[in-house]
Amino acid sequence: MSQAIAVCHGEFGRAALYRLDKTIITHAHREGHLIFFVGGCAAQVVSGSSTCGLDSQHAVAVSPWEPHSFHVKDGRTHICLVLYIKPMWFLENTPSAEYALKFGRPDIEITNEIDEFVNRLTALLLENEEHGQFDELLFGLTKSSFDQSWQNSEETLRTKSYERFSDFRVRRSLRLIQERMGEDFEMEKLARSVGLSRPHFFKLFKQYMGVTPNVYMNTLRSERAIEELLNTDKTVTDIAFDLGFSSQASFTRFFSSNVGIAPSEYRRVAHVTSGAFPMM
Amino acid sequence: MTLITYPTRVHFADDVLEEALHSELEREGCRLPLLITAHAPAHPELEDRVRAGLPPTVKPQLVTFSPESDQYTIVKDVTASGLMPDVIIAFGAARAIELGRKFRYTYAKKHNTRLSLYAIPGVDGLPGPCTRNLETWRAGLPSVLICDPTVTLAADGMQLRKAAVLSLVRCYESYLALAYNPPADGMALDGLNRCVNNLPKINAAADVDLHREVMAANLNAGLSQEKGVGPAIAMAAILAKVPGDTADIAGLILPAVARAQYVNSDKAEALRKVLGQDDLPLDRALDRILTFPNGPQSLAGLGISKTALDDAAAAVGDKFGLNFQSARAALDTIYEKEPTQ
Repeated sequence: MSQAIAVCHGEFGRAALYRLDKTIITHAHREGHLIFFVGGCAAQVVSGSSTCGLDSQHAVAVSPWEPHSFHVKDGRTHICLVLYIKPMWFLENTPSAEYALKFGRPDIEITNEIDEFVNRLTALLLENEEHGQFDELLFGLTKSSFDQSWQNSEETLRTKSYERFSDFRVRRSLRLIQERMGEDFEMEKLARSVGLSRPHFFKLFKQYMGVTPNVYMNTLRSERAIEELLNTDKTVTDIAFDLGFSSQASFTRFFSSNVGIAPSEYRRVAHVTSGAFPMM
Repeated sequence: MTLITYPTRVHFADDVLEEALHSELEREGCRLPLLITAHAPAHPELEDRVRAGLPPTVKPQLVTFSPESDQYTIVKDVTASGLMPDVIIAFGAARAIELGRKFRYTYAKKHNTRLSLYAIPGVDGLPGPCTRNLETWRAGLPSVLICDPTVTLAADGMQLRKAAVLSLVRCYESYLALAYNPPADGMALDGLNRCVNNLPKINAAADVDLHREVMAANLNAGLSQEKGVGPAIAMAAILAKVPGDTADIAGLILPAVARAQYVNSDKAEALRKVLGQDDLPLDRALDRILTFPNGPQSLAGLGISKTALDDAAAAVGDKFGLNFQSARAALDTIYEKEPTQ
């Protein structure tokens, strides 16, 4: 069974050490996402059209809202350091704050500098205590990875990297998804309520948002679930019902396949530093 | 001695609205935003975009305004609803941002708490600075500005041109204002340059690049006004019956003011360079840039009565290198101007 060894939430987003032995299905995050091999067997991450290895020589960088999945061989265990970095936190700390943590490419080579950052962060996470150097190391690791991801890329690609264009029906659907997150609603109806057929809606949504409506909704549900697990006394069953699941079991399946581990396990391990959840 | 303050966070990118709004609200931990927008906005989909940018735990309240609304109407609506907002989000029009700013001031006096103001400008950019001591310029600035050019894509060529004209006038006059403020001067010249370069390109099929340029000019014009407003803007504010007329009126007045106003030679040279008309006096250069086919030709043509000109000239007083008589004379020259051939 996949396990969380350590999870830390802070202003930066979250950092976790996971022991994973199962596939994590296609999902996405609002944050910039970095995955570093720490131990066990090698694994793979499929991000867009790229399949990237996760081993002692290679890490993976996934841009905000980029759909990706994690794969490990049956019966094998992969231990990894996983970062979910809020673009705003990164921008606040970067002198040239232009690119909102959109990575130039997903495969990152492990340099001596990156290796050092990974080792030190892993050690601090295992201590499970607040440490003054933690944010600094996180920023250093993110910045090194970000800069490397843009090496040898054309400048025009970089400046064009954040461009997306609007469609008012997609915009309306984003609002509806947000408002109806706790309901059991059908995508067919959602498509109709913005004046589109289901196939046309899915195509447009993917074109503008980079993910399907289902993946988008799952991301919002995962975010909400994590917030509630860490900041409320609600039982897992209550959280499940509030998010529109018919049972705790279906919520646990959803959470495990999107986040990697079971919700009760996440709640047990996570360490929350000040400033992690200003909304709560 | 000048105190220069820019206490505003600015997000500026295509399609940045939702993520920027989400991040800013999350960063500040705001949960009860008051949304302020026009009652019948020209582009209602913007409200969908704003709502899509709210974190799921947020409980927003929407207040809309009509042309007659003022900050007291909004305070009354908010009080009646029982909401205690923790942030104001004004979006879609300069008037919305102006009301958000005034509401923040009034609400602070009543509840002894000053709220953050997030502004999401539409095609008409930022409102002018307060001129009646409601708040100082710097205290009236939005805490967060989210400038997303895709928000203005539905605006037509006419609206875009008016926005560029108003920004041009603001930038020109900010640059000439006496306060010593090098950053504001830089923004004014940059804004002016963008207006001059892009005004001739504006048409009904303006693309996102053009919208981005005009929004950048609007932003620079608004921020450069830390130095204060000039005579064309002051008189246009008096003459405009509705805020939408201000750009047309200011665009007509500026060349007339330039004919009457003394401008120091260094500044005049810098302006001529940016206007791209080195061989012309400033007034004629402005005439050339601000005259459009089917554009406004005279104040009378805009429905302004001659009796209003005295009030407008009085607003100038003895400031800006003008006095009542010279300002009045400048207005007379464009009251019934012959159409440009």
